[in-house]
Amino acid sequence: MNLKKLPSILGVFAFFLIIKHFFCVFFKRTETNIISDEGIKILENPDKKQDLRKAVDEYHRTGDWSKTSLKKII
Amino acid sequence: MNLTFGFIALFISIIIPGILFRRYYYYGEFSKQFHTKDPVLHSIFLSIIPGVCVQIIVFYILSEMNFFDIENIKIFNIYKDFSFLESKEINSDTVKFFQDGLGKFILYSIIVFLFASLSGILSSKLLRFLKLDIKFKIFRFKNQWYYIFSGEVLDFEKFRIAKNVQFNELPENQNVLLTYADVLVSNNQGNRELYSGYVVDYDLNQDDISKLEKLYLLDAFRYKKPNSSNYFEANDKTSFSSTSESFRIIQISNESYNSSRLRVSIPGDLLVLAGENIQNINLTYIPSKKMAEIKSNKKDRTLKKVLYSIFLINSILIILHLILPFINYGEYSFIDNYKLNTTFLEKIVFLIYFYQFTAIGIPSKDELGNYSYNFKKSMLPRIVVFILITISVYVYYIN
Repeated sequence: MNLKKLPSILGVFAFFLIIKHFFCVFFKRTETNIISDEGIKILENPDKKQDLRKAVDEYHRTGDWSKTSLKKII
Repeated sequence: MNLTFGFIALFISIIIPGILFRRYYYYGEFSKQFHTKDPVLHSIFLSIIPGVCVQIIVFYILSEMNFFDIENIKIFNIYKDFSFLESKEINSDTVKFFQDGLGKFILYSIIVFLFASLSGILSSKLLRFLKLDIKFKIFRFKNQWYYIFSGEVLDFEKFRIAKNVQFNELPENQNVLLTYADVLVSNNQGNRELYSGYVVDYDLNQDDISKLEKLYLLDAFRYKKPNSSNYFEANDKTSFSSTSESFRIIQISNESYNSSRLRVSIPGDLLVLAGENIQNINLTYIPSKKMAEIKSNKKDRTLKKVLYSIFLINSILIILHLILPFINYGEYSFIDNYKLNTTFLEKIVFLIYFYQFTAIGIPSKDELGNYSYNFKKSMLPRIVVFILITISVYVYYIN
C-alpha cells in the first residue's frame, strides 16, 4: 500500500463527509414544517396529549409556562 | 418568423433558466407563490432577472473552465442572425455554429438549466438558513400563514416588541413545539362555534394566497353550551362517553359547573375547517425544549465564548483557504510557499488536523443544555483521534 495515498484518501473521504453533514444540517434547519417532530411524538402519546392540553389551559389562566407542567411533558 | 427565432433564443437562454430558478426558489410551504396559473407575460417578466443572472454566472464559470473557446463578438453575430433571419445573409459564425457547435450548445443549455434549478433551491434555503426572510421584509415570502402558524412571526421586528407586552413568555429564538389554536367558525345558519386543537397543516387559496382555504387540526375539541342532557359532573381530568351523543366530554380541573362552554372531544383523527367560515383564530405557541434550559450562568457564558472563538478561528481559516489561490502573498513568503507546495487534498488534511486540535478545547453540552468539559466522554476520544491523525501525517512525511 502506498502510504502517500493515505492522506489523499482520508482527505477525499472527510471532504464528502463534511459536505454530507453540512447538507443534512442545512436541509434539516430549513424545513418548513408547521408541527415539530417532538410535537408529533407528544400527540402520539395519549397521556402526554392530555397533560399537554391541561398545561395549555393552565397557561391560559396564569400566562406563565413555568407555572404549568410543560417541563415534565417535553 | 424573425420574432419567433429571436424569441426562441431568448426563451431558451433566459426565460427557461429564470422559470426554473423561480420554480425551485419557492420550495415547501412557499411553493404556492409559484404556480402555473400565472399569466404568461407576468411569468416571463419575473423570470428575466434571475435568468440573466444565471446565464452570466454559468457563462463566466464555463468560459473560465475552458468549456468553450468562443469570442463574445461571435455570440453576438449568431444572436443577430437569429433575430434578423430574413433581412440579412447568414453570418459565417452562424454557419459554423450549426456545423460544429449545436451539440455543445445543447449541453451548455442543460448545464444552465441544472444550475438554475440548483441555485434556486440553494439560494432559497440559504435565505431561510440565515433567517433573512425574518430579519428583512424584502426577502419575506408571501405566505404569511406559514410564519403565523409556525410561530416565526414572533421573531419579526414588529412582533418582538409585542412579545414583551403579551403574556406569552417565549424567549428569543425560541423554537415552537406546537401551535394550539382556538378557532371561531360561523356556519351557514349564522351560528358561531368554537373549535380548538393543534395546527397540523393548512391550505391556501389558489387564486389569492393571502387567504386561508382550509385549516387542519389535530386532537380537536369543540365548545358547546352546557345543558342537562349532555353535561356530567365530573372530577378532575376525567373523561367518559355520553349516552345520548357519541362525544366525550372532558372535564378539565377547575372547570366549574356553571362555565359558559363545555369542551367536547370530536371523534376522529383530523378536523378540517373551511377557511371561508373562519371568523378569527387565537393562537398559543407552545415552547419546545429550549424553555427547559436553565438560564446560562457565568461559567456557561465563558464556555460559550470559547466555543464561538474556536468556531471563528476555524471559519477564518476556511475563508483564507478559499481565497488562497487568488491572492499573491509575495514570493518566498510562508503563505505563498504553503500555497504552491501543497496539493488540494493536503490542504484539506491540514484543515482536519487543525480542527481536530482545536476540537479538544471545545466544551460539550450536557442533557440540561449546559456547557461543560467532560474528559472521558468528549475530550479523550478527540485526543485519541488527534494522535491517530498525527501518526498518519508523520508516516506520510517520512515516506
